[in-house]
Amino acid sequence: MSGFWSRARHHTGFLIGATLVGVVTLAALVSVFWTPHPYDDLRMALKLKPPDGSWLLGTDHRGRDVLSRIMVGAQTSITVGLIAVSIGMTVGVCLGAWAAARRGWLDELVSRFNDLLFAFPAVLMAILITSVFGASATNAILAIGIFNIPVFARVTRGAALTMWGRDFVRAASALGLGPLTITLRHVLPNVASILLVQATIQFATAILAEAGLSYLGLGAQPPVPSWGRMLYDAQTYLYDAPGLAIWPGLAIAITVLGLNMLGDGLRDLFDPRLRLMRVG
Amino acid sequence: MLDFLLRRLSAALVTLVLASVVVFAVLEILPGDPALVMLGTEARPDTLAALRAKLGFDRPAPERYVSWIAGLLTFDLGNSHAYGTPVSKLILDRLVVTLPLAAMALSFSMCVAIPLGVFAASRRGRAADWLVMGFGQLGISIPNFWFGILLALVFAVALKLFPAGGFPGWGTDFAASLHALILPALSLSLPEIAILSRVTRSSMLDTLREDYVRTARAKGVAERDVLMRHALRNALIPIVTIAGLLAGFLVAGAIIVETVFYLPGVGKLVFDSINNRDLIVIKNVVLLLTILVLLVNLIVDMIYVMLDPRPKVQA
Amino acid sequence: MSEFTRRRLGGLVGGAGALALMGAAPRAHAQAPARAKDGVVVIGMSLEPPVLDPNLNAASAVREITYQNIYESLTRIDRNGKIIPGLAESWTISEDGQQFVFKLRAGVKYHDGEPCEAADVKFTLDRLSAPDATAPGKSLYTSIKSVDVVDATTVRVNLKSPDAFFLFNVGIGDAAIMGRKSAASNGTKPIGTGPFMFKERKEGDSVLLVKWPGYRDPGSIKLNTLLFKFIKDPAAQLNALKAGDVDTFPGFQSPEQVNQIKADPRFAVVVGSTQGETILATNNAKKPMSDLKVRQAIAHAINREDLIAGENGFALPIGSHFPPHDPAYVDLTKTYPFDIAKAKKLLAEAGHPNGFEASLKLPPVGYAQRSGEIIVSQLGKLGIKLSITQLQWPQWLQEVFKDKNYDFTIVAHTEANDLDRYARDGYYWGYDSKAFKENWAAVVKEVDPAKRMELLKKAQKIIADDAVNGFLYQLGKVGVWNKNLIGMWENSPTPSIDMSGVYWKV
Repeated sequence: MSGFWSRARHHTGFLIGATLVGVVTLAALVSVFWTPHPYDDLRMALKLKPPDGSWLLGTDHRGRDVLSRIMVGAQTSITVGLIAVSIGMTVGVCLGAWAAARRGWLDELVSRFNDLLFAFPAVLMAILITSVFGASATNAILAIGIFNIPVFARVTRGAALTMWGRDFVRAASALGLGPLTITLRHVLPNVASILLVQATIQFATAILAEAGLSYLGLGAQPPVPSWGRMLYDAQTYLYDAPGLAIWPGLAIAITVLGLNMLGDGLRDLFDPRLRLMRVG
Repeated sequence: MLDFLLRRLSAALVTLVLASVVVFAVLEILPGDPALVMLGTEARPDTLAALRAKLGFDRPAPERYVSWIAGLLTFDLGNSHAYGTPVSKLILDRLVVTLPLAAMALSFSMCVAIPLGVFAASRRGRAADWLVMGFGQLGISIPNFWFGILLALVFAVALKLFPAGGFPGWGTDFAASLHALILPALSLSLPEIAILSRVTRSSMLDTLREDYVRTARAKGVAERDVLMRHALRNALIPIVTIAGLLAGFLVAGAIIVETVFYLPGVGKLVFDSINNRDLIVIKNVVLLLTILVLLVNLIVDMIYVMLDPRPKVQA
Repeated sequence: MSEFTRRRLGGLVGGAGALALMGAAPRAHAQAPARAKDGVVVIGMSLEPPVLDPNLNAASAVREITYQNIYESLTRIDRNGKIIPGLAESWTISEDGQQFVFKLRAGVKYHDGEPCEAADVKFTLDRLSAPDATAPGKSLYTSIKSVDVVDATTVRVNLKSPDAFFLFNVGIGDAAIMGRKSAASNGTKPIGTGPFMFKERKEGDSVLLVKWPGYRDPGSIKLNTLLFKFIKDPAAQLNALKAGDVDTFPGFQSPEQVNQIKADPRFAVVVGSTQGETILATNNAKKPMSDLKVRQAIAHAINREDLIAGENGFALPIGSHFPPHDPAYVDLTKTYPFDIAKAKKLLAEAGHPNGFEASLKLPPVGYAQRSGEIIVSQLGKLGIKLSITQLQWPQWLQEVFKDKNYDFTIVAHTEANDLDRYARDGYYWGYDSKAFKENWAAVVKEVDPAKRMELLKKAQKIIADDAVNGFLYQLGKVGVWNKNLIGMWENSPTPSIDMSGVYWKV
């Protein structure tokens, strides 16, 4: 691992990515304990103030501090992204590893299931899911999580199949070890790095998806701030306060850019030949 | 070849049947009674029951599923509950906005991304390469709806060159309609440009390494001709494949960009019909979009096989 | 760019007739005057109507487009809410108030050439009140016992009991008199007796009406073409107005943006009254809201000034469920004045010194979203933690209104004369008061206007004292129109965009 870190220190993309992600995470953590102003304090008299010394990014249409809301919005984005990717990863890795170990009809079934999820326009399905179960952060997580399953299932299956072809796995199989043991002991540890890289990229995609859903009003509900919703609200004041439409978008772009660079950096550091899936 | 196609086709059909079951099931548990929506707060229980019977909601679910599929097979999508007009007309009216939008975005992305990728590949490792790669990284990180808002801010609010939203309709004013689609198409194409330029670059780099390119260079063929005649033509195969795959995502991405620019496309139809609980419209639109994505994937598969006769194993 | 401009201007000059104008040069500023010359008005609406049959669909957008433009009713509600003759030029009421005889105007025809006769009136009223009727407004017409056709222009309606609201109810859009031959297809191809006839509909986009030459008084109608354009998003509404695509938004839904419109010299912004009492509807059947003290505490914690500021000032405070512009209105806003200390004390007495947790389920309308966040912050000061759920209308209707699975919601009750809801069993507030029910039964039966007014005042007081719901404000009607467009309704006594008296000043 020491080799990893010494190489990492010289990888510019990785360093920039790690810094951006670090800043956003820090902002989210700090906002749990402290924000410049209370993020949900409605003060109609202060609405749409331009930025100044005490309101660094100005106030929104309800007189709330935009900077504080962006900081708390980071919490929302990170939480939704993290949980959604974890769900997708857990289910997807299990399915993929299982399909690779068993092959046959099960493999076929998992592939069909993947095709189905890929063929469904994800936004449409997310809209339907939130219509059925109500718009909330939890259901946004669920919708995004479901569409992460096939990504992880495919990547895991592909990588695991390669592993099953390797001599040491064949040897373990010949020794009479069961497929579960082999998967846990030999296959998964060897595909862990590609999964980590894929998870970082998916995290970025999940944050974009969350922003899109909450822009459509299907994500976290007010008064909890979310970047997407802030952008939607800002569109009403495009003529009065154009700044409102800039900051939340910038926050999304910085976070996603950081995660993408981090993911690409990790791939370079682990193994530049890894094949990733990019699904929007 | 035929065998491969048949296998892909049957797989697509299975997916489609599964999709129809899922959509139908989701709509079964969708809360909110369509009859209640039509009759509102003053509706009496007996009135509601009568209307539900009139709409056929009192029939058992399997029966309704079968009659829906049977209708689909004969191209009869039924009438919208909310408007009373044929669903096929509603969908067609919206497709003439969404499909041109997606096509425009796709051609924008090809026109920008391919030259960009070729350029970056020809300057590999130099500043221009880094710039293009950096742009690519940025392009997939910016939400396209935010890019749309920024475009509206600059070109509509500040410069007043384009409308900030809305769509006059092809029949009433063709030029203005085309004009209204430019900003949405631009914002829709941003991530596509980012992805396609990266694919072009790496595909070009791969072909530039091939023997015949090296031979051409060794023979003293001009660098420009090496790039255009020899490398690009072969590099196009994966580029077209990816572009095709992106077409499916364009349709989905159009839904959100339509919201940003208030375009009366398929996305708006989905939202409106969910809000009206116009179930018959929702299920047909969702299935139609699924068919579209499957079709594009199938065509891409076919192009792939035609261009490269070696049998491909799908990962 | 210039290419586009030129082509669009070309379309404007060359485009003869309304249809060509509609689409031509949507964004050219020179457009509104050109429309004025041709008698074209583009009317923006937030909500799109489903089928265009107000007998059968509850959406108020259906009435807004069709009432007085396409269809007419027996009586007519004028711009101030007064009942005036409609298709019936006169009527007589029997001594006991249970028999109405309407005399119809002679020679009135439908757009398809069929005469409008007494049989059509009977057909329509049966369509609304018959046992198997599927009309959303059926409960308004339950007092009808039978309808007799006396002759071609005379109709007699027999009531089961006196109904003080009957003449109003047969004057609104719900009771649009439809031709018995054309009614079945009126949802998609409406045919009425009004001055404008249906020409074309683009679902999700617009409805086009044109002047009907066969109207009984064609000279009184100044406009040639009405294009109702549906623009839901507030930001898009502003864009459309600024770009000159739309001449008027009779009900502009986004008070936050009014300042941006007022700055534009082309438009007039007129604030009028509506029938929309906006309330913090409270589930009285559920604990702890079933406790009067809890409801009183909430009433004391509501600061109407802030809520009205959230509506940019376009609202009037109310202390009960009654519109301030009605002659029978009493100001009850001081019944439980804003007083946090008192609210806390009452809440403690009720056994909730630290407040409680509850749900606030909001429908997808601007005022509910705006006031919802403010109410959460105001009740939060009592320790009442409200969690917001945004619902789509169908879910709101099902979950809140029908299944009564909610604690609080915010909604504007926009029907006229809707105080009767407090007397209903099983209504979603779960309010059950013997005193109110007795009083309301007396209101309905009372035909003497002065006595009825006293009873109405008493009714307002009972529900104010009981703090049934949080009474927030009377929604204002923010009308935006081109300054040269004359005759638009300022108020909204019933859902209607009556264009029959509107003209362009040239």
